[in-house]
Amino acid sequence: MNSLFRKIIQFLLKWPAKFYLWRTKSYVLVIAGTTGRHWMKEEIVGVLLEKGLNARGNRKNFNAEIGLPLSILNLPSGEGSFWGWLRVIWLALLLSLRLSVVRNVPQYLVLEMAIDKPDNMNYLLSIVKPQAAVITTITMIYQENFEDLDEIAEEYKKLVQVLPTNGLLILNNDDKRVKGLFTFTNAETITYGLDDADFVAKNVKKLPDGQSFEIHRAHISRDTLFRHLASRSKHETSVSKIKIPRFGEHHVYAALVKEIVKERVIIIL
Amino acid sequence: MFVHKDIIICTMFSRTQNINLSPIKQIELLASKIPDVVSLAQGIPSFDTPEVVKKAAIKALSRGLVAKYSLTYGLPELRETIEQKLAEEGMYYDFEKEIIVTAGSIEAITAALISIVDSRRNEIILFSPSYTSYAEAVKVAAGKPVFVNLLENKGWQIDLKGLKRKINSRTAAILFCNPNNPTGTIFPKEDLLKIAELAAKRNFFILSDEVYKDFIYTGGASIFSLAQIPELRKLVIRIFSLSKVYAMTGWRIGFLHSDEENIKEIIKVHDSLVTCAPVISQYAALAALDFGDEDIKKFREEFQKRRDLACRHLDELQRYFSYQKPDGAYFVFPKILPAAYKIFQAKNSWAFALKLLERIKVAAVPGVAFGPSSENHIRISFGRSEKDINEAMKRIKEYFI
Repeated sequence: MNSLFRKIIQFLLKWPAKFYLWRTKSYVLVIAGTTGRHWMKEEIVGVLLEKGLNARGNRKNFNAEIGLPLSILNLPSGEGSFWGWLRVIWLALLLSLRLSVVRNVPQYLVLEMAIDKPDNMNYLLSIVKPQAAVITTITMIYQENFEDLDEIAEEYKKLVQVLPTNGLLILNNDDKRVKGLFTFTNAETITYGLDDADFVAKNVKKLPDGQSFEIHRAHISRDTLFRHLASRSKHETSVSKIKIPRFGEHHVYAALVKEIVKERVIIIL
Repeated sequence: MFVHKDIIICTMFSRTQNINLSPIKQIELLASKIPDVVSLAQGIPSFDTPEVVKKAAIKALSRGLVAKYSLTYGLPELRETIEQKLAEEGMYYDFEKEIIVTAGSIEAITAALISIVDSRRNEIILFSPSYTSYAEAVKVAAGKPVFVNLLENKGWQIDLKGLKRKINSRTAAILFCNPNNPTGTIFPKEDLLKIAELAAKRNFFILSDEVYKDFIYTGGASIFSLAQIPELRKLVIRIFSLSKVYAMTGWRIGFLHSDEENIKEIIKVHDSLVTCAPVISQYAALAALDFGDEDIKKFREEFQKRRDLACRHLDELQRYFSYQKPDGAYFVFPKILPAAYKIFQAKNSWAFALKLLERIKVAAVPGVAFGPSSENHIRISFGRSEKDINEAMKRIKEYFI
C-alpha cells in the first residue's frame, strides 16, 4: 500500500469508527504499552464474556492507525487489494450509518493500542477516548523510532490525560515509567505487579501444566479524596490462589489485570 | 610427501567424511547440468512467497530495521506472535524463554541434536523412510542414526514393536516428521502417545518436526502434536518451518519450542551456529503468521488437486509403480516394480533415478536416500506446478508404455 493510498484509507476509516463509537456508547478499555498487550486483552475479554457481558477485542493484531478503526468496526483488512479495501470502506460506512444492521453491538470494547513513532498516540486518541486504560510496559522493544524511554512515556502520558475523572487507570507497578503515569490523571488508579502494588502476585511457581500463585489485594478506600495518589492508605489484604494453564511472567500480569477488571470495571458500570 | 598430506587431510576430516551431501541436492546438482529437465525432486512449493510477506520484508528493509542482529532468541514481537499461534493450536509456551526463531527447520533440528547428544547417549532413532537430511544432521551432532522401519503394508505406519527393540540406554532421542516426508503418512494420536510413554519411561527426547502440518488432505482435521500435552513439555522439542507452508524456502526461517530447561541449552548451540535467524526473514515471518492464513488455504487446495493429478498419472502406470495415496505433505512415494526396473535395466533406486534423469530428463529422488528400508522406491514431489507434473508424467508414460 503506498503512503497516499494508506492516508486515504486511514481517513475513510477514522470517521465511521468515531461515529460508530458515538452511536453505540460502548465502554472502551484500552490496553497500551510496548509488550504483553495481547494476552491481557484475551483475559479481559474472557472475563467480561464469562460474566455474561457483551464484549469484543481487536481482530488479530489490528491495533494501529488502520487496524484500530477496523477493530472498532469489527471489519477485516482489505490487505493488498484495492477492491478489498473498497468493500471494507463501504461496510464501514454502512455499519456507522445503519446501526440497525449491526448485530451484537458490544457493551465493552477492549482495544489494544500500538504506537511506533512519536505523535502516533494523538492520532489514535482522535478516534477513541477510552473510559479505562491498562498500561503494561515501556521498553525499547519495537520502538526504533523513539529517542529514548522518556519519549515513549510521553506518548502514554497523552493516553492517561484523556481519561475521564470517573475513569480507571490500571498500571504495572513493576515498570518505573509506567507507575509514574498516575500523576497525570484524576481517574482512579489501580496498580498491579510482583512486588508492591494494589494487586500483587506472590509465590509464583512453575508447574508441569502451568503456573500457580497467590493474588494479594489491597482494599482501597474509594472515598479518599486523593484516591489516585500512590501514598494512599491500603488495608485489609485478601488473598486468593490462582492456577493458570500458561507459562511466562506476562501471563501472571494478565491474570492480575483480569482480577482488577473483574472487581472494578464490572462494578463501575 | 603426497601420502603424508593425505593422512593429514584424512585425520582432519575424519568426522565429515562420514557425512553425505543430501541425495536430493545431488540429484538437483546433476539435473542443473542437463537442459530441459523437469524436476519433481526437491520439496519446494511452486508458489512465490505471498505478497503481504514480501511487502513486510521490503518495509522493514526500507525502514533500516534489518541491518543488525536481533536477539539470539529472535525478535520479541515475532516470538509473541508465535506464542499466540501456538496457543490457537493448544500449545502453551512462553515466548520469552521457550521459543527460539531459527534459520529454517534444519538448523533447529541440528541445534537440538547437538545439545542432546553426548558420549553416553548418542543414538537417535529415525524412521525409514524419513527425511534424508535427518541422518546427516545426527552425524553432524556426533550421533548415530538408528533406523526403525515403517510398515509399508500398513500405510507406512509406525512399527511400535520394532521401535521398542531399538531403544536402549544409549538412546538420546527419536526424531520424526509428521506428516512424514516422503510418504505423506499422518501418524495417529494413539501411536504418538505410545512413543511418549516409551520416552517418559526410558528418558529420551522426542523431536517432532511438523513442517507439513498445514498440508493434510483428510477433510479439515488438524494433526495431533505431542507438544499439546503439558506434562510432556520437558521431553518434546517441536520444530516448525515457514518454508513450505508460506512458500518461503529461500528465506530460511523457522522456530522450535520446548520447556525452558531444554531451550536454555539449545539456545547456546543456536547462538554458536547462527547468532540469530536472518532478521529480514524474521520480519517476513511476522507478516506471514499474521496475514498468511488465506494463502495457506489456497496452497493446500492446490496441493490436493496436484496430489490427485499425480495419483491419476500413477494409476495409468500401475504395471510399473505401486503407490499409497498420501494423506499429507506434498510427496508421493511409489514403489518401483520389476517391469520399470527392466525398462531401464537398473538394479536399484539410485540407478533408476539416474536413468530417469539421463534418458527422459525427469528428476526424482531415489528411495534409498530416505533410509535403508526405502530402497526400490522413488519420491515424487507434487509441490511443483501442474504443468511440471503433467510434463514429467507424460515423458515417463511415453517411454514406459
